[in-house]
Amino acid sequence: MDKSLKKIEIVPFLSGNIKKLFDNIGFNNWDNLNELRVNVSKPLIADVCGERYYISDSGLSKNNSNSYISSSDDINIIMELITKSSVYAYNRHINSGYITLPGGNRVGICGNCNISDGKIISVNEINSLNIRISHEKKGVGDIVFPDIYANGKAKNTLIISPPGCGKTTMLRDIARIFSDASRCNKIIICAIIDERYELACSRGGITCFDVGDNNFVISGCQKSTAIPMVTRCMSPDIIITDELGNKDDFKAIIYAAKSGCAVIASVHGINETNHEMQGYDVSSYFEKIIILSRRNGPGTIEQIMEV
Amino acid sequence: MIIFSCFMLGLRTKKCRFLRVDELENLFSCMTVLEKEISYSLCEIEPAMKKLIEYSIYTNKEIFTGVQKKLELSEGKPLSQIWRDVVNECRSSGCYLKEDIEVINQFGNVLGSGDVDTQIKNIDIFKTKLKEKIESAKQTAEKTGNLSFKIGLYAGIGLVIFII
Repeated sequence: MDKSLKKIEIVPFLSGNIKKLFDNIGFNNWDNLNELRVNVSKPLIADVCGERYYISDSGLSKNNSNSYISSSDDINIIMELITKSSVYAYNRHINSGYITLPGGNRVGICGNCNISDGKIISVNEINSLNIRISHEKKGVGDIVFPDIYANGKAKNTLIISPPGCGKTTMLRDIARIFSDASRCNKIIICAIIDERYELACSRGGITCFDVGDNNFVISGCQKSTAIPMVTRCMSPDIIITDELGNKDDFKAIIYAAKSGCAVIASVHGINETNHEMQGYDVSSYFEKIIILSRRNGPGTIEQIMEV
Repeated sequence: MIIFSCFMLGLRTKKCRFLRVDELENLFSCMTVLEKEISYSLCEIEPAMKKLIEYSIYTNKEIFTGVQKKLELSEGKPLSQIWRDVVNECRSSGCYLKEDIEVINQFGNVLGSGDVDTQIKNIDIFKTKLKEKIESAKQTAEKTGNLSFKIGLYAGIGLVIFII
């Protein structure tokens, strides 16, 4: 990936003061920037190469004595830029707690929520933003590929890790590898269910990331709706999706697995007995479980389990 | 020369009175387009402005073009400020009165914020205000349009007689 590409993707969405700060310190490590946390009246924090730093006029530091303190203006300007001054067009995303930027980068949003009938109808007084920079790392799926593909068949696989450990990057690369007919000795069709525009980051019908030539992407649709839909209409060999979160997601995955599609999905957690499984006995449906961590940087494979 | 100048001044005032009605009516139609763009396709403000440029005339076209260009530049200014700056830049070239500009600026303050329902309500309120403005502009144009034209002519003749 081009070294300056992440800078081009991120800088236009930063407030003038934060842009200036990065210019002043001559920051040029955009390719290794994982997160940028902007909190009202709190120090600005950057995650570079898996390490968190405060940012001050003198550079990155673990000491917050002179660090830049973000203001509500910084947040308001960033919100203005990421919503393109059209909050109504992004309201659904804001209520879900994030907005996806071009390039698959995602801004997490926190503020005061207004609830009606148990649902968030608006978020105002936004006080925290977490700009998460996505990375395309080709080859990270190579290590797990022999474990999840054998005898011409993909195995139902669940990738488990805490946030920021490279689940999405791994899934994206797995999709790309399965699309390589020379690796699989046959043409495999993958359905990529990209609810949050992070996996493939499809814009105007074109994916920002290389997710392979034989795959198709359904974006912005809930997994519980998209998975049965593609299973019935597009007859994929494999369904790949990110961040299973609720019972409906698990139900949809089980439906697809029972229908004969292989499922490769990810979920937040530390191990296979995680509460995120929503009480579902995953062992009945998943054949492989891959556990990731950040021990040696994002994407560290802790364990590949046969279920 | 004096008679001609005064005549032209009166003629311009008359034209401007009628042009104001056209501009207000056009702005009303543009708001109907904007309403559809927002409610049916959740179109963002910048592409919506591009669409409005196609439908708009005179000062309205200048306003929508100015806002669209500034949004495209993405300088991090709030939309309300961009809108106000552009409207103030364009006010001298058009036929809008101060009271019209006030209403247009008020709309700019709420454009883009809130959810779709809020946007539609804001547009409806703006359209109601525009309707009132159109009615009063029509009455003003009919009453004073021809009068200003005649006043210009007679003032010119009067001035010449006075000088002689």
